[in-house]
Amino acid sequence: MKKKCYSSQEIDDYIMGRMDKEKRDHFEKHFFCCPRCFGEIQKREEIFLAIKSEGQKIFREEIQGKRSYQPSPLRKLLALLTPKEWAAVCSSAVLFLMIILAGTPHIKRETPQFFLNEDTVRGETINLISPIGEQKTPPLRFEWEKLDKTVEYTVYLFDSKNTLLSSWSTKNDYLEISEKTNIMLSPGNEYHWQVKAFSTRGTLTAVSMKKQFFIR
Amino acid sequence: MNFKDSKSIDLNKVYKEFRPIVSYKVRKTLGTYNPDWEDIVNEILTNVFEKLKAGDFRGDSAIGTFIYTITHRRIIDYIRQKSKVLRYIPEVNPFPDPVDNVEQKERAEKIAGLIKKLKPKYREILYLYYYKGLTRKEVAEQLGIPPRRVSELVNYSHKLLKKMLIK
Repeated sequence: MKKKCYSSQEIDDYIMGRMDKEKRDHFEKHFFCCPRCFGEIQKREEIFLAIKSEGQKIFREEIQGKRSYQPSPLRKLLALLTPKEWAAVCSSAVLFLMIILAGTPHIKRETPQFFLNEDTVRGETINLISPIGEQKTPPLRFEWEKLDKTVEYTVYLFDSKNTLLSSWSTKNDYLEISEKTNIMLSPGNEYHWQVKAFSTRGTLTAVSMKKQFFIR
Repeated sequence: MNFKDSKSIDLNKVYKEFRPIVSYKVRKTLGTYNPDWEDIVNEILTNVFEKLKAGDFRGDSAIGTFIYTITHRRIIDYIRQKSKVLRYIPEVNPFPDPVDNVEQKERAEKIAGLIKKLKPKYREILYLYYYKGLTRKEVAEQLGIPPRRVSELVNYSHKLLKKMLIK
């Protein structure tokens, strides 16, 4: 008589009547002496009998062909190994990478330089409202969208060659320039303007794009 | 249960442990619908006790093997008697029908409800393996997975159902 307990597959074979007579006799002798195997038979048989008797209700979709089981490509790939084997492969791969990384000499590369200047500012941008595009007369008012935390704005005016003509500071989200200043904007010329925002400490916090306007 | 000989045997323990096993074996062999199964189980157990009291069990083998032998012989005798009367043995239902009483029917319905709640990968295994009666190799071929994986999924399904039944 087999001393070792029977596998779940063998137990299923017995329950489902797939065991040959000789093996069945041995198995029966065994479970007369083995409460563990007998308990396992009872548990598995209960499920098996429930499936046999209630199967038409449980697997209605499968029986009517509404649900079919075909292996997907991913499933086929996963099926190449068991979950335990996949776990072993992954662990080996991680170990391999760790060995490679540990063995690689530390190469000192040049530290990347990050800098902040007037053209490169992290944070918000300022959206300019007017003047933009073609203007009938030289503009007297420059407007942009207000930022929440900014204390002061500086408005820069450039000519078509990008030469700074003038700059003004204000705490408002607009700037009105005097007619005297306005005289330097002559018809038939193109100009650019830009706004920069500064915090209380004088730190540059936001910069707008340069916008162009043309006076007819 | 280990006993060296007839004198050290506790008959109550023997009855408690072996009645379900003997009943199972008798019903499995003769069929659940056989009206004589309970009488045969009682006869077997009575015979076992008589032999134990008479000191016929000398402890050469396990007590389970001793009881198995008595059970096996009694079942063969019964089949022979019936064969003489009927000239043939009525076809034995290989699986006892769980619908034979309300309690079992309710239990089967409960299990069915739990199986419906399982993930498709477990349902499909139970469907192909138990309901359709395919072998592990056939299930493996149909699903494109190794036979070993079929066993793992079947066993895990049992484990899940066991947990759900306890809840």
